[in-house]
Amino acid sequence: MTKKPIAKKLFRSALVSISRVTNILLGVFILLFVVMTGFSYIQLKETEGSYERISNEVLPTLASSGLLHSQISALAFLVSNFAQSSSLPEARINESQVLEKISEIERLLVETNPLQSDLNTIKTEFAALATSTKETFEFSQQEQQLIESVIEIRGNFVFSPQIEMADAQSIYSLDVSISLLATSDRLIDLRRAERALQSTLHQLLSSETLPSYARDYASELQNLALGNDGLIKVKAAQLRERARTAGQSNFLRRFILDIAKGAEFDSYQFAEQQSHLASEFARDSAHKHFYILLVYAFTFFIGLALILFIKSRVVSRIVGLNDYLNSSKTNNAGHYGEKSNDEIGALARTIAEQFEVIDKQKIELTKLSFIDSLTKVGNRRAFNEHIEQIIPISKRNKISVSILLVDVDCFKQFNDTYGHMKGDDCLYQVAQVIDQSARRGTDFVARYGGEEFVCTILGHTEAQAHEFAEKLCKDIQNLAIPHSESITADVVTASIGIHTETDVNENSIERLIQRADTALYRAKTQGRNQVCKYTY
Amino acid sequence: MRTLILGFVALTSCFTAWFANAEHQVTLVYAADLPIIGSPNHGDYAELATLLEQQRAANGDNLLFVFGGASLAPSPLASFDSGSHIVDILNNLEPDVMSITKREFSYFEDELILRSYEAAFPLLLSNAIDKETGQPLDGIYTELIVNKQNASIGFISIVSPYISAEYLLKRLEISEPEDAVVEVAKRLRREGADVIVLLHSNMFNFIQPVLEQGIIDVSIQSEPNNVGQVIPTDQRHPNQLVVDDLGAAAVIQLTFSHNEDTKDTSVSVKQELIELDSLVPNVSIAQIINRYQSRLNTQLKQQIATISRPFSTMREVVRTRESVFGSFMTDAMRAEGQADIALINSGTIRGEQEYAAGFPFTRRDLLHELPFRSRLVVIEITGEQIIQALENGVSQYEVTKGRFPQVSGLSFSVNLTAQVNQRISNVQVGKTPIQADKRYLVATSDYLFSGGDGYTMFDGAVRKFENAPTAPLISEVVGRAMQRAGDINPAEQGRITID
Repeated sequence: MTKKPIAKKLFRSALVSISRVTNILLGVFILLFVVMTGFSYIQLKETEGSYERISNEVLPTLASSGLLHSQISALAFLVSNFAQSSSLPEARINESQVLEKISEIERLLVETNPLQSDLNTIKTEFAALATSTKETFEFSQQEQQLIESVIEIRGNFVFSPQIEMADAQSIYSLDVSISLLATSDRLIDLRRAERALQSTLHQLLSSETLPSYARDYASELQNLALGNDGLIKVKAAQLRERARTAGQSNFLRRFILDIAKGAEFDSYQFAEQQSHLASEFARDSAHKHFYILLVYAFTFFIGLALILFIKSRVVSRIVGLNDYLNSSKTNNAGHYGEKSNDEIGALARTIAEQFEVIDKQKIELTKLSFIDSLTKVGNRRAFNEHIEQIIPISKRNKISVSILLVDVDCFKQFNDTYGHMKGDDCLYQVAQVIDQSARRGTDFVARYGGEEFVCTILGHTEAQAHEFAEKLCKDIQNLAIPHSESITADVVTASIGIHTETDVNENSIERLIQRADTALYRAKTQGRNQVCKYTY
Repeated sequence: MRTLILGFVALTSCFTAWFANAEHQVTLVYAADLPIIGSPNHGDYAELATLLEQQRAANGDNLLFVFGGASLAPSPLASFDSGSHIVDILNNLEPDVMSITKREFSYFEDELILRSYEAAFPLLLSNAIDKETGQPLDGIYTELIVNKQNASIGFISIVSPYISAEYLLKRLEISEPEDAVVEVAKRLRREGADVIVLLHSNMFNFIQPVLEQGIIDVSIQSEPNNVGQVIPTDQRHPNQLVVDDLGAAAVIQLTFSHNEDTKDTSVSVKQELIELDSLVPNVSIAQIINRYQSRLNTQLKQQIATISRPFSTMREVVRTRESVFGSFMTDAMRAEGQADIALINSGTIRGEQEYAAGFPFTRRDLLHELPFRSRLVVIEITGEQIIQALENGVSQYEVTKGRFPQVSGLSFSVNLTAQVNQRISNVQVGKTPIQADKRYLVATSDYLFSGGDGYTMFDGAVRKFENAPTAPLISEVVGRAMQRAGDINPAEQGRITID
């Protein structure tokens, strides 16, 4: 019981299974298709994500960093503008522009932006710069007022003849020193002018010849120039403040420009990074597209392979098998040449085997349908087939055909006497004798009906055929089958009618049989147990 | 207070006539090398103000305040204002003269000219002209006579010609110092200078002869870092003064007389070094300093790293061997520039500090270390050029020059016994031996790219990212890397092997 499934299993495993190959190909195809679809989906999502990121993050960031950079650069310009203000009102206007720009930038910055802290520093520094600038202007105003006072005093001073030449020269030097003070734009020059002024004043005030109004004039100028809030102190403070303002302004401008450059560089770096990312993405996408194409192509080829496989391994062979079956219906198509070790191969082989069995059975059946079951020689149908076949051959080869009709004498009596069993046996023995006599390949023996047999012999002359028939007649008698009721002998005998023709054709058959039958009839009428030939 | 009498020479042999051989005295307060304000290590301007007050009170008009320079840079604040704050403080101290040294050119000629406009005192440099105008740099004095009650003091200030290359000064044409001294001294004499004082920071061999010849009367060299060359004390002319004590000011008494018969002027000097931190700071100057110190405080006090591994940025370290800070810095530059290697001259590192483990490293410290406004440059050069650069880097190893390289992505060996330009071997880029004809991306500074510190092989190299509107400051690059790492601890070691 277990042997058969194991063998089947072994047979199956030995098969290169179409279903397995198809399943594998189909599986690969579906897998590739799924991969391809998934891959394409992911790629599309990534592209979509990339576009979203570009539109939601990159472009706004680039725009805002570009804007920030331009705003900060503008701030640097405004700070410079402020530092170069030539008057207090101008400074105030420029200051408000700077503050406005700072608040504009503040609005651009989110709270977490590190520039916020830089902006706070800018505010602090600018406040200090604004203070210094205002102080410089205040000192300038004070200086201006002092210079105006000096001019007024000098304007009111009139040289009189009382003034000695030396004193007049000193007064003139005093004027020059005062002028130098006013025009000094460096501390060193101021100090130089201060020393010159002190020296002149000392000389002038120590002069004994100097008139008192001139002394007062010198003292007034001394107070204005060298006093606690005098021109020199104010001027020195103003020079210091101006330098400080310049320094602060440079510092602030540098600081702001650094931030602007930083913002610009960040922007550039960001743009570069994005460009790098974009080109990487493009490169990556190109790679992916290549792989997608590869997968597409592979999937296509797998699909194609699947189709070709099904076509060549299934459809064509099924068509072939069908043709084979169709041809097998009409004739013997021979062996179906399917050697493949798969299901269709197996099926084809099974069908072929079945056909072989059928063929064998058909041959067997054909054989059976041409043999007389009792006497084991051909039956009348076989004789008819045989005579149909040999006539064209004889005609083509000019071979003579002899027909012998053999009839067992008094067979009815035999049957009546010995019974049907013995009758059948008798017929069998007679048939075997005739069959053994006609041993040549071209000889043929058949039961013609009842106790009558027919024998065809090719290539014999009439005499030879007669001789053959005579011998056959004796051989039957020599069987010595007892026949007590025979009128010819006490054994079974036979009468034989014989006819031979040398020039036969398709129309000769009936005549040949007819004439042999006529000859038989004569043999019977002439006393049986003899051979008669047809006579014209 | 410590007194150093460096020289006292009484050359006044005959006092035949008071008017003819009268002995005069002028006092000079000399200070220099004070780029960092409010330094915890030594006193500076507030204390100097006190000293000046004292000396002015004692000497009246016969006191001169001579500022020796070397102070506009480098410092964290100067990296923003190019030394404006120093000028502002000095404006309050009113120097009679300030000499210009190489440091004053840290931010190039135009920034210095701007400082001279801000300065209420004269800035002096005698041996340089502006190539573009053929005149002295705008606002800079080439000679100066300061008239005091007792005397007219002439001043000359010189720099070494090599600073043009060292500081990449393209507009400055520096003439031969000795010729300049001789020429200017003659002019000063003609214009009535009683005493001629030469100010300088580099060592020059001709100084002793010109002192001996009486071309100049006194020379004052500031060299507080003791790294440059100075004439040994016993070989110096008595009037050849060297102020080599950081955070100290010199009170110099000049005593001179003029012999009408011989037409000779004899000058003697007496120098006293005053440690500034021994003085009480002047309140108003301290306020100004505090105001400047609080400037950018929000930014500068920001801690960007905590030191886990002690390291030094002393010049004898960074200029002679692979250093932690140099390696970290070049790693950051290499990463930022996406380069194969990074190379920087160690002279960029200026902090002169020892950092202990746990030290909270702030942005102020960073700017203290990297005060120059060098920007990152990425260039493409051959392996051969890299080797040449390394050879240049170690060519002045013995005198600890700032050209010594700090590197990243690169390792090499130095054989100090070999001749210059044959000292480098075993150069590897990453783990692969360098190929002479292969092109490498090198991150460096704009200073070296322009051929600074003798790195002429970089000059004209193909520069990457040419389209960038600006390049980041190296200090910014390093600062960002520190913030990311939270430490200064470069992974790779063994980059430079000194044999």
